[in-house]
Amino acid sequence: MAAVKKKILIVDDEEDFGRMVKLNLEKTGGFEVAVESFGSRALAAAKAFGPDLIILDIMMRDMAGPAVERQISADTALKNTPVIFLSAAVPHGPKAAETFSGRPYLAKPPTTSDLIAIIEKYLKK
Amino acid sequence: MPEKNTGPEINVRRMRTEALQRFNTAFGLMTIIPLLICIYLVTVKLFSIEILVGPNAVYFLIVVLIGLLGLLYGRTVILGIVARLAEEIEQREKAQRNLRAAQDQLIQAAKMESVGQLAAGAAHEMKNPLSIVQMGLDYLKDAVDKSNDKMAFTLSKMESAVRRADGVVRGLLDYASLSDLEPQEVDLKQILENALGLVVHETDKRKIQIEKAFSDIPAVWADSNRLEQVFVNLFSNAAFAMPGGGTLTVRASAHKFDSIEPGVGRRTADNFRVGEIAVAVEIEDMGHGIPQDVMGRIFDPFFTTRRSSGGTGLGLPVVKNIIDIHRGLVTIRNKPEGGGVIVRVLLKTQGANDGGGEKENPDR
Repeated sequence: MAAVKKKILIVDDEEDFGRMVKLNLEKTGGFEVAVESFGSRALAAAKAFGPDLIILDIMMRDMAGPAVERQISADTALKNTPVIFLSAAVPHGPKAAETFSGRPYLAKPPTTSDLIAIIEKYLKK
Repeated sequence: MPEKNTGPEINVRRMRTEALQRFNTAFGLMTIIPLLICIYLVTVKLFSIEILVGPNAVYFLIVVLIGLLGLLYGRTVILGIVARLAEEIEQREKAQRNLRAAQDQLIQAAKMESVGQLAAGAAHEMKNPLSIVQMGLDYLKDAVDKSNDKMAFTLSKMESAVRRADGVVRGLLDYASLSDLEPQEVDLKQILENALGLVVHETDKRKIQIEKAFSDIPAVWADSNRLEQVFVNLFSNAAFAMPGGGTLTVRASAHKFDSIEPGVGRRTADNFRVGEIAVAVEIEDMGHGIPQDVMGRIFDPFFTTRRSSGGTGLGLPVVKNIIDIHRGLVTIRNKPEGGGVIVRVLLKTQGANDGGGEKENPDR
């Protein structure tokens, strides 16, 4: 199988978490993962890496996820790249939100299979 | 007088009755006095008996009549003043009660807001380490020798511990994020149906039959999302209580409070007044019931008898909190004949401060 690996960019200021997601996703053989731990550097990292999908934390120390999302949406090269929010800061209740700022949303802590399922659902074809 | 124990509230009805009684006594005395004077005057013959039968009798009778009319008029005036005073006291008392209820709600909201901020911060700080542990476990799962039972056991226990900790964090967030309610008139039947839909996985898994008896019920005054959460928690508890199946009965009907009971009366702390119409929901399961020694602790945060199967001890405290904030009532009792519990939730049909039906019972 010579399938092209899908490129995933993870933007999360919890560095160890980003690294572990990278380990788990790359272990499947289907993904190439880059990790960025500063929200303010996410746009540059995305431009350099050219991801097929971006996983974005919401509460980050230097720049919040929604602000990063606005930068990505405004960028001509990246505006069609799917973004999934993945965060510990979440609205709760019996019907936990499935979207945040109009983007799909996954609550921490996810399992690797939760992550792969949501990535495959939104990966650009 | 036991009424004094209820604090500064004034018993208007009793006051009115007392004023009337005293006035009647005075009025009686005042009518007797002119009569006695007449008898005295006649008997000591200061006036001859002719004054009562002669031509002057007309003047005498006019004087007596004017006196009596004056007394009657005085009585009416005094009663009017008493009634107006009573009315004013009653209104002030009601305003004071509403103010106190509003203050209580503000204090509660402020308290929940600070708890909420703390919980949200703590939740964020806990969810990140939990995520790292979960990712680490996922990685190790493939790395360990799968034929080694002890390793598989250890990993699965660690994974369920992560789920449990996450459950506690979620419960804490639910418990804490109750200050921003959006109450409005809502259709309770719809909420009950939605909540049943959300637990269908739990009930189907255990082959639990659902029996519904919804009579014609008025709209309730509530935040629909929060209320749904109440019933989701209560239905899941009922489902957990019947692992081998059974019937979950949900009844909803209008309810009129006929007498004083805990939470029903004239005190500020009472959420309902005697005579008020509420909506009652009863949820009945066919489980094992609640042991008497834990009954007093079921609403305590983090108290659970299901720790080993993932209970966080926050389900019922969340229910209680939501119902308290709605100024409703929730009670849980074992069925008298045994074999299950009945949860009863009473909800307001109007805004919290209407104080309807309070004149029905003056004895508190």
